[in-house]
Amino acid sequence: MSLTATISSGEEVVKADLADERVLVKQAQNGELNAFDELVRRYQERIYATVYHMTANHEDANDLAQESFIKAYRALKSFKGDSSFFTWLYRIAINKTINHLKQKKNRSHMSLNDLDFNAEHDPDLVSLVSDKTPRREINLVELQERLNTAMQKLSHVHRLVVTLHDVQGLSHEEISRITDCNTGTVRSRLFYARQQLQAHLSDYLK
Amino acid sequence: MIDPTLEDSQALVRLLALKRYEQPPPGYFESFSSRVIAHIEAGQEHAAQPWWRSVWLAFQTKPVLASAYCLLAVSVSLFALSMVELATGPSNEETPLAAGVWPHLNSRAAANLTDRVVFDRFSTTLNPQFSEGLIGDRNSQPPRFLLDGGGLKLQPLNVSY
Repeated sequence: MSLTATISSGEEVVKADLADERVLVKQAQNGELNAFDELVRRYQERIYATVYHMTANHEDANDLAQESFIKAYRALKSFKGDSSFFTWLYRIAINKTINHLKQKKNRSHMSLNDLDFNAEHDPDLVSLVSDKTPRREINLVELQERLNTAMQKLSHVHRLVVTLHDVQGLSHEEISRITDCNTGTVRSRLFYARQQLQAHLSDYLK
Repeated sequence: MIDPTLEDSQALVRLLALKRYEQPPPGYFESFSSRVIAHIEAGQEHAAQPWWRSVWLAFQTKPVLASAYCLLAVSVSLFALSMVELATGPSNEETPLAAGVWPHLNSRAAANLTDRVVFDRFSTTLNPQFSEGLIGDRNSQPPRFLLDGGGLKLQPLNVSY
């Protein structure tokens, strides 16, 4: 199969997914819980991960992710389809998370998830820690804590762009749509946030 | 030559990839959507029942809330009662207590007697020494003009302490 055919086929899959999503949203707006259940399954991991990386707390992420979906269902009637359902849902989750973080201020504590088994086999991570200690596993956990502590020192908006871009892999354009600001702002926030993180994690980056 | 800032930035992006390996407990996402749907269904049931039932359920599950509402209701009732009392005020035609008991007394004398009896009873109940100082000897007789009519005998209050 040629490259053009592959790209064309990929675009068709995306279009089919979007059309399918519109149907599901329509059905959910009519009160069909099965359709909404399908939408939850599609986005649960991404929404949970965004909230988790923002809060660094599994329990909070669990509650906030669930509340975001419940709020989305209740507000579904107001969803006109001006943006994609995914963007709209992200906005709800992010607003909820930022409100939660503002309320908690400095009273939050970290409750980190365990690292996946595959982390030990990631060559990029191995290269960052292997020459520092022979006990690689312990060092990865320590690195995880240091990384999350550094993330928590960032402001909410800076933490958000790092989470969405560098952890979740969203494009600048997608982030600008979700956060409702232009791509220039997204880029400058990302630049500043990375500088801050580099300062906090200089031990591991040299 | 590679820019050290750019190099650091690339290292940071590689480091941030570590966060992708932070995963919730196994099986977490298998039940996630069903929990969300269960919450939504519970909310719909809650919304479908009459308001008084929701209030009753809230009171049952939160005794503090029920107590607070009771306190508030009592306070509002007392306030409303005092407002009504204030609005109606004491009537000019109100008969003094003594006038009801001794109808032959003129209104001024009856009012004086009522005040005296009430004050005497009040002050001796609270502080007998105080009453002595204010109204003198407890065994002294009330004024003659009050006792002359109808064979009425007004006894001084007998206080023991």
